Amino acid sequence: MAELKASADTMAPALPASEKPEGRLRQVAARMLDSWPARISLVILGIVLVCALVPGFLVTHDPFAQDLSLRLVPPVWAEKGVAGYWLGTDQLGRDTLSRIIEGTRITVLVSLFAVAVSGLVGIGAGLVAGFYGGKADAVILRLIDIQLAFPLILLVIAIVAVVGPSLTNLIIIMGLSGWPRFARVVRGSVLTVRHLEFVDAARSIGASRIRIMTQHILPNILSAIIVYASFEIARMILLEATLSFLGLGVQPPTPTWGGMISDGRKYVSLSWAVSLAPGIVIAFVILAFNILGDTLRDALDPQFDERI
Amino acid sequence: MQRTRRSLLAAVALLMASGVTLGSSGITSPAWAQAGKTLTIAQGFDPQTLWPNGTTASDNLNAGGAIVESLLWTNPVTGKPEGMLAEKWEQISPTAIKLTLRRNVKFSNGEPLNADAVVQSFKVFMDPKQAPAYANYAAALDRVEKLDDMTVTVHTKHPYPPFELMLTQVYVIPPAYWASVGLDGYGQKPIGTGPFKLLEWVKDNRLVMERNPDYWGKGPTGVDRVIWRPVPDDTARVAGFVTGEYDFATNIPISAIDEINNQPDRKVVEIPSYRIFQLVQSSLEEHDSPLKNKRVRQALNFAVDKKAIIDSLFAGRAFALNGQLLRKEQLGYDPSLHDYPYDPAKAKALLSEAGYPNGFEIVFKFPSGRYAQDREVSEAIAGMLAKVGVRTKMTSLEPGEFLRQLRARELWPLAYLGLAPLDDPDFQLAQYRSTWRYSYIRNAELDALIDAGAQEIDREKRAAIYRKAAQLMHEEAPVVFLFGGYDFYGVSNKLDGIVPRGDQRFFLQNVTLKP
Repeated sequence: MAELKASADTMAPALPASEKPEGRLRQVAARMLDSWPARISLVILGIVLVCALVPGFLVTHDPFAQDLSLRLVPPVWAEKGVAGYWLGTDQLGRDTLSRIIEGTRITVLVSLFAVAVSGLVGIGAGLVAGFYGGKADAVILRLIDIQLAFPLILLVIAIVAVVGPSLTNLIIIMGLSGWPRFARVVRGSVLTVRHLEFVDAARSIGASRIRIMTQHILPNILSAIIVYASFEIARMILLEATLSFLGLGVQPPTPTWGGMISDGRKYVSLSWAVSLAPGIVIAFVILAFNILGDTLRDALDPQFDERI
Repeated sequence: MQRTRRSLLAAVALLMASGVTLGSSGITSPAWAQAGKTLTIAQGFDPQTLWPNGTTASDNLNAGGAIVESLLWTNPVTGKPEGMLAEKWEQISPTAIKLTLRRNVKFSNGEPLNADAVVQSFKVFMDPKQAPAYANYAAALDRVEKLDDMTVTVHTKHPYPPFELMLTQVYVIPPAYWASVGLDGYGQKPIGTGPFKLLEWVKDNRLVMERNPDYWGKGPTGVDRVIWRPVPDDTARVAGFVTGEYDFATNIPISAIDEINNQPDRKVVEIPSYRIFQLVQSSLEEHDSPLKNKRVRQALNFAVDKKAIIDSLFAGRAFALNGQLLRKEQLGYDPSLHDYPYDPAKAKALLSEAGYPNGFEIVFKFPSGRYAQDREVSEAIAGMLAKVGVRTKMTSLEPGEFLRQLRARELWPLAYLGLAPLDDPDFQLAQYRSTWRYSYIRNAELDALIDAGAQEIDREKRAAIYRKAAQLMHEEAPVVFLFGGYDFYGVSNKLDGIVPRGDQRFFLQNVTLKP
């Protein structure tokens, strides 16, 4: 349906779709909705969004209420399951499903913002390095090398020890830990497009460097950035889990998916559900982000029409 | 297509990482482990030094103690001090002990064990620069003199009741070898009188010792070689033990006990630990918090359900403290004291009386990965405190940082702590004397009792002093009295005669390994 509507729209005679922003957006949306995996991904991310916005609406139990007499109850379909505790309970007798739902907000918040931070810094640095080349490139590359030479966890521990753990600090630190990789991806992409004809054309009509970077180069490398960002979200979820485990991340009793996995890891032989349940959730959410990234990249590709 | 496959792979990898942690399997043994009559022991960490007086960490002492021996030792079977390199010891005055050394004992490099070696060992022991970890014992020592080749006299500055315990801490070194390699060199390549000699040490991988053929005692039976493996990860240590890679493994997590006991050839040995768990409630003037008020400190004692923690989190494998810090077996334990009962209503009433009818918010520090289930216990306690209106701001600390804060007196206002001092009431209570580096209470009356107990030779009088101190601490509540822990060891049925002690020490002198 959406496909039909959208194509009808792009065939409208008034203006070429590419010059009308809303039309372009619709076109991209239509291409994305064309594939089943992308539709499923959108549904998953939609659920995540709802969980993040109104967790209180969906939880079946108070996610913080402990009941030591109901520890490590298996999921409801298992032999010793207890009605009402759909995914069982954790090591302190708290409802696993409610904690996963409650944990969505903080997990998604931390990882999305961390990717945003590393994306902002990394894209800026990568653009400058790739576009200007020369000294700017050399300086930025050395900075990247210096940070990558540092073991990531050690770096993060050191910074947290100095500034102290808090949610804002955590987001900034996790974000800054990821910028070098971002910058490298962006720089590489810039290098492949910066000598193409459309850049020369823009330059020849007197466009400023800033304009060339933001209006001409950036849109052409956006697909690489989006795909990379979708992978980064996954990495940030896991990094948050590691930091929680080291006591530097989000503090208990606030649930996060990663924190739930590392807490439950010790009880795997007694109750597999405690860490497997959030593990599956992470896996599906990351899968959804990645599929969406892939589809979005294809949909955003300016050469998409020529290829088919 | 390729990208979708990559996403799928990533998902599968994540699933595996999240759900399953596989330990190293023992299917193929490397060459160095294949020699017959080999005893393999898995501990949490690789020793930093094999000189036992270098640190107080049990992982170091267990390995180092197989090579270097002490004057006396506390036999975990009898619980009493027995002779090791000193054959006899007698108190010749309130401040002097005469030691008679064991005859015909040689270090494995040929140096003889004699009074000179013992005097030299005391010299190192008493030097706070060389043996800082033992400075609080050394503080009681005055001087050590040689009487003849096989006897020495140890003089203390004042009557010192735990002198036998102190003598179990003095490890004897060969003077000529020590002089040639120095402290650090000795820690890496020790020479001692023990049942084993160092063969090979590959850091963070394996520490291999071979039998000392000239050992003075009977020594172990059926063991030619012992290999110490550092395995920090609990899951990996349990897996290696279950598959038969290790004959003996320390620090088995409670969740693995049933799995191991179901094996036909292995079992778990439970040892009541010297470690006493408590919530620090700092009442120091410089630490401003509601806990300065005694009623608040008592309220928190009423608010924590000790029994629920012991029964469910530890499946009964922990013991109640009965509202005091000394264990039942110790001199000075007061049977008239009992745990603060779990009574949230009483806790709330006390908080109102103290001026906090709506409770308060407080920082609660706890270590993550230092003690068994530290995070779970802390979260459970935080949940119980929340029920009486004490809202905790939980701060988990990495073990190294946790110990640093403890020693720097930064572990306030509220913190989860387990302390395992040596088995003497003085060592337990001295940790609450106002001058102790990590004491969080300043009470002149308590200080006076601790000082009196440390110098009282008469056992009955000494016990009475400690009972009085226990009553005072029960009332003042400088801590929330929680529980005493157990240590769990995985032991192969082939292994006999290895008896761990409550301070996580175990000895190989009397071990038998059946083929």
